[in-house]
Amino acid sequence: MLKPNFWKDVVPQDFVNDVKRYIDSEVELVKAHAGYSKSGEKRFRDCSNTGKIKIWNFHEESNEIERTISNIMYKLAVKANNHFRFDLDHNFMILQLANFEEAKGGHFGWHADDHINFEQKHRKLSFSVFIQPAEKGGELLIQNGWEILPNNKEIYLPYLPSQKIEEDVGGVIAFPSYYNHCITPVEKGDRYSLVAWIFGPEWR
Amino acid sequence: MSIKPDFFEDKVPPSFVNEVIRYIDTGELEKSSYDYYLSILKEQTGLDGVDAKEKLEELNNSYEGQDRGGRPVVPIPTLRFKHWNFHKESNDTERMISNTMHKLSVKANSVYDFDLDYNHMTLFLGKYKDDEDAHFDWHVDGHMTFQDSSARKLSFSVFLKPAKKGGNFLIQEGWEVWPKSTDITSLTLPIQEIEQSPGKVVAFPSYYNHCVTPVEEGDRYVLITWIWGPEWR
Repeated sequence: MLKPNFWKDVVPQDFVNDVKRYIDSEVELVKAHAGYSKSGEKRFRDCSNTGKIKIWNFHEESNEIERTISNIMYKLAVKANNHFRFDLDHNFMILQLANFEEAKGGHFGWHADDHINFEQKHRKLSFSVFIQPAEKGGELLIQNGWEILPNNKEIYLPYLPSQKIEEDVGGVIAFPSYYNHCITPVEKGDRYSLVAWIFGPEWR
Repeated sequence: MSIKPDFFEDKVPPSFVNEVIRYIDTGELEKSSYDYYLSILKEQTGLDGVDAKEKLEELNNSYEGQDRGGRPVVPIPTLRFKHWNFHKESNDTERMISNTMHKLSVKANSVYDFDLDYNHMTLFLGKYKDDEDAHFDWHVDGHMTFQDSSARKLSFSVFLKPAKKGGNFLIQEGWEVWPKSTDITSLTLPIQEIEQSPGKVVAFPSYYNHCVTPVEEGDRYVLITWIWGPEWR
């Protein structure tokens, strides 16, 4: 049976510490928005995302730490794509720092970062770097979408295998942006993460 | 930038539909075997041999207290099928079906613009019998493989004869949505039921999740086709 594959790596502890410090000092509350619209018309309601985020584009960093983060993620993207071999525009990358707070039960509902007919530009490769996993909850689940044994639920519920990703401090995971994934509500201890998306032409 | 559609839709003429149904009913059909599911079970649980068969039977016969008219909650797929590869047809009907699907795949791909190997196409005739609760659980046809240079890229369903009851064709598009329940760990992505009328053709990228719910009344006839190509890039 063919299996989905994630690409994994680790970043050094110094980098993790710098990012964590930056999140603590700089990350401002942004009303998280995640959803899809076609011709300005909302197709579905927004996915529930209660994280505090800070976001920037590669080459548009506002300080040294953001430049460090961008450069690290750029190198990781090139390395990961030795494995995935997607058509990517490595200079088109978005970086996001997120804090899913215990106090808010921070979570991010099931979603895909991209799909076949997203408007505008296409996210192709998604990265998560685990800066500080939650002590409880706040798990990253990824739905592989492979043929599996049915579980004992009603067939109308799309039971597809979802895999809990182990979050070690400094751990890096990359996956195709059309994989469905979510962050379960944080129950104890804030969850810090660094996310990056590399864009490219539509899937072929 | 153009936006690719969720689905490509087309129609085939009634004469084609009738010919394929006739062919399904005259030919010998294979019954979906447990072997494939046993191999998955082994991978997931480590169970082998008799233990694996017992576990599969247990899953297949578990009712979980739900009222489904005496049907198992988790029926293992039981559809009957016949399949062949393009250019390996065994008679004129199969050649006619292959040629029709080849033309449809070229047409559909004028919209999708995927890297496809049109000559690598698999044709699959399915009959979902109501007395077998025939169904096909949630799955994708093709995905990243990293093990094989070829993957299924574009999937076709040609609805020949829908079931009278059940046998619904559901597709999960995988868009961002609110969770429908508070239990975020259960998948709550939108699913869409595709209306089936005889002769209707639907194509979609092979990484879409989809399923066929158990047929409850009236056999369901379908023609499935997969076009292969190099892995997604």
